[in-house]
Amino acid sequence: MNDEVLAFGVGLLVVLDGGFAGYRARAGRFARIRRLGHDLRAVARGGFIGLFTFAIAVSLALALSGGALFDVSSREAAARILWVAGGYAVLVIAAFVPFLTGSPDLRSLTTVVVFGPLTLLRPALIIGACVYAAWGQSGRVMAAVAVGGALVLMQDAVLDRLARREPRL
Amino acid sequence: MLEQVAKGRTAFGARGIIEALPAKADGTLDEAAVDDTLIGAHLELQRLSSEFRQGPRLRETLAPIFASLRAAGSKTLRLIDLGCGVGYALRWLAAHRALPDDVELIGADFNPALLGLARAAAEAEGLPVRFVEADALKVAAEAPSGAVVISTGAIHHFRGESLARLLETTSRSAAACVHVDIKPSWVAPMGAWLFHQARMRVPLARHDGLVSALRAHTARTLLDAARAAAPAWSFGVLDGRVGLLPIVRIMHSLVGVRAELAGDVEARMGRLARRLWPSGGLSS
Repeated sequence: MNDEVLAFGVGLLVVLDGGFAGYRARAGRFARIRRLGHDLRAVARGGFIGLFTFAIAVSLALALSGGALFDVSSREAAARILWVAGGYAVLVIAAFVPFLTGSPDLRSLTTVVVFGPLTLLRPALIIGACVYAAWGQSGRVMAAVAVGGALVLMQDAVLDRLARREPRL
Repeated sequence: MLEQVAKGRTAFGARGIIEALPAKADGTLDEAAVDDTLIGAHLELQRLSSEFRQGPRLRETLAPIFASLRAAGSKTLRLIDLGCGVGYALRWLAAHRALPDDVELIGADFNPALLGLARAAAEAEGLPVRFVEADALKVAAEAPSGAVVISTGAIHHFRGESLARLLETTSRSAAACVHVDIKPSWVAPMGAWLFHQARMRVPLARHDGLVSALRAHTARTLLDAARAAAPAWSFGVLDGRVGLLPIVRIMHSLVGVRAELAGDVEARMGRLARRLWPSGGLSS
């Protein structure tokens, strides 16, 4: 896997995670029945925060490495993150197929078996992915992964604060 | 009030939830904060109802009932939601035009704050739903031959005598009822806890989810209470059967109709009627 694909993959995961976090932050806070536009705006806002988070993480990695995004150690760390978080993302996205096209029973089952538990697992998975990625790497990479992971986890809090201020209708 | 709560026995952190609410100088709870907490919890419940497809499930049960009432000659058709809260069920039915236009949709509750949001939400989306601060069964009694009383997640609040009284009064005030609630099973408390931890932010909503799963009536309890309270009606519990792994249909509904309508309603329900527990139909 070349460096561009690796960087794009990790960036895409952070933006996706932000999008889902944006949706979650507004879910259960908006009273209307017709809410597609509202939900799409919430996802877009989360994705933007994710993009911002990724930009900070990349800037930090560049600053710590003196200009080169990847070396052997950081490349391995990024690949590990991609495998763990990518697997999680594929599972979540795949679950949307039955959720969006299935019968009410299948949709409920998807919610109960996939979305609910995976949402609960997400913080632990992010921490686990970061620990796995940083394991045995250089101090610089460990620091970048730790800060990056913390920023991703903080997205929820930021989006939650923003979502709380918005009207219920 | 806070002192009384602090001295009393509460379950699953209820005391902490109440103590966290702002109090006024005289020791009573701040009404605005209580209203805001209740609205927050109900909006989170609305999200859950949406995820669990309460709207489509209600539609498939209610459409044959209203068709049957119309065929029986009922002129005024009314759907009354008992304890409607923020009115999600009725607003969903209205937004999706799930029932014929001449079915009047009325939400009844005693909490003005929840009703206020329900009204504002219906108005904002131009939905033909009326919300009233009143006893749902009295509203139904105005035109009993065409009235259907529903509730979602409310019937476990009625226990023993009050459950019997509710069902008995319903049988005099309406032509049919559909009470949707959590289905008790070995997995329900654990599932409810896990799900509410994952999905809910408001502590009251998390607490209510678990306690509701623990307090939910079994299909047998609902059916026995209904048959004793309303012998002139026929009942069944939709999805009342608890399988080995009850995670697909986590809600069940007590469905009741006047006995003379039972055959027609069953026929109009088609395959759905087979999911009525215990007999695969409505029975007295």
